[in-house]
Amino acid sequence: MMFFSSIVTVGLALLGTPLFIIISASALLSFHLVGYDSSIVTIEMYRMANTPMLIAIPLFAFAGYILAESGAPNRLVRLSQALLGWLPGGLAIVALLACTLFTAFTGASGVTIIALGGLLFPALLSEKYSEKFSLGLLTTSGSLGLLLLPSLPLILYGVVTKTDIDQLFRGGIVPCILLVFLLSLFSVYKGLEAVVPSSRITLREVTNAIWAAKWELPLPIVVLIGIYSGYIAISEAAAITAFCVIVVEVGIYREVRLRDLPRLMQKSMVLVGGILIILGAALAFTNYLIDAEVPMKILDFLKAHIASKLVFLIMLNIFLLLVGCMIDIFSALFVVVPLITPIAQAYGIHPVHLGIIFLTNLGIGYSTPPVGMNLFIASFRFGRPVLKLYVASLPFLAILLFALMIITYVPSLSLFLVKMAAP
Amino acid sequence: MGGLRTFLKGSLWLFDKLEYLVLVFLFTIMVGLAFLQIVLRIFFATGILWGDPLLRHMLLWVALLGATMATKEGKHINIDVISKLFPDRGQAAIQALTDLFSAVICVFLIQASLKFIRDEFQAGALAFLKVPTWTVTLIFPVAFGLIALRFGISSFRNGAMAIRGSAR
Repeated sequence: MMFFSSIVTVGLALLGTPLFIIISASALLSFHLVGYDSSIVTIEMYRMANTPMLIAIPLFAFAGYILAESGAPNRLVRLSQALLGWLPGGLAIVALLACTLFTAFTGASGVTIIALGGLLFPALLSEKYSEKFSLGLLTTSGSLGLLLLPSLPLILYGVVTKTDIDQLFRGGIVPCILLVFLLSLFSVYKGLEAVVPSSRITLREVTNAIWAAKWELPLPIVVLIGIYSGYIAISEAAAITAFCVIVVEVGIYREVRLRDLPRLMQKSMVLVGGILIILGAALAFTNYLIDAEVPMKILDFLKAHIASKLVFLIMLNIFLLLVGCMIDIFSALFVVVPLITPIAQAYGIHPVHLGIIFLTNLGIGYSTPPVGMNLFIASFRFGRPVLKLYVASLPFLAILLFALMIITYVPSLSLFLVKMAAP
Repeated sequence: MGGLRTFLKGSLWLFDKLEYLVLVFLFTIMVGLAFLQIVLRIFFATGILWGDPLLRHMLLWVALLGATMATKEGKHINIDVISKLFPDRGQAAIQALTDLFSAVICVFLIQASLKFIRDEFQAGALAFLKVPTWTVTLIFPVAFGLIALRFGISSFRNGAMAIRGSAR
């Protein structure tokens, strides 16, 4: 019965049934088979209302949608260009940094490619970067900010594993810098190769660019200091962000109109609702799996075959890459993480390190053929066939995979800031 | 037949509007209340005691309403690799099948949530202030009901399309 229904469920999932239905169905059926009342599924879903951190998700998502419709992307690119345009490959690095920060602040929902792509793609082409390079760069850099505050997957990882969010934020900084740094090196190389003209840094343009963004710049600084110092909680940071973004973009810059707000609320809540209903269903299903001691059974099996931590990590990477190509980051986060966390702990992997491995892996999965979400968004945004984007993102994927290996096999990269902060 | 159809269409339109208004209303209050709480905490070292549980329940409502809207717009997260390989008619047939399955699962979810509400009603637990838990969790059957309804309609439409073989 269990076996037969599993096959049917997987089949339906592959045919395009929404994942929250698949996960709910699995939970309902599993609990039914072990003789539990189905109300337990709702009890678990209701736990969403007892997780204070979750309030951050809709607030950040909403702020992100407002920012994406305002002139904030232009100002961000202008400022980075003023500061970094003089480097060889400067504009490509500008694109990397702008995308990273924007992804972190809009919660990694694919908004980055939509909001910044239209601006950066023609700019890159006009500076004689090849189309292939530009497409690959913009497609893959849409998920670089996953490791930085306040990205939604990072917060949700903390929610699912009950890991301290402050520690996750500290853990993500250095690995994120590594990813951006390696891709920047590649950009410098490409910039030198294409003999891209580099602009000069002028105090005047830097001042002007800072002045143009004077209302927006204090916000990330205040929020980051507030969170990293532990003075404000993540949900409070989200409330401040949402409120200030409304005031600045609607009240001061007037780039988003007041009557646009309901529409943006709806747009962002469709995204948030789609994510959180999967979380609700997954809370129920993973509760069953843990009740049935599935992680322990997997662990016993693995212990018999895999002795070393290193081999386990390699297997984990491969497994997560496969998961990342198949399902989206949120479903993976909600279903796979609760299963893997106890196993990884038994192998002596720090939960923060595991989280960083997980998010880097799944971030790469965003741009991995055949179903990486970034590929489709970029294909839609730039009007190029998906196949072309597969090819364009390959060199970037190779670099990201290399960085992933470093992040996975050098735990101190993710952990030394965490340990430094610990008393 | 025609009158019934107009009536159904009208009620669906009304549901859509109502859902949209409730969502915007709740979310606006959520942003305001969440900001008020932090201002109170930082500048006055105080806060509304029932504010946080209220916020968390509003999150639940907003999330579930967002999910019903995602159903309407066909924006639920799924793995869509196989159906794209089929011609239009096959795609419609597959969609009719997956929508029907989704609607059925939602009916089970309604049943599960009604049992939960019955238990909460008997236990008489309070969510915050004097608001009993069973009232705020009524959103579960309502949201799953709307989702089931939308999947049902979509399944019906796609089924008809698959049989007729064209969109119109």
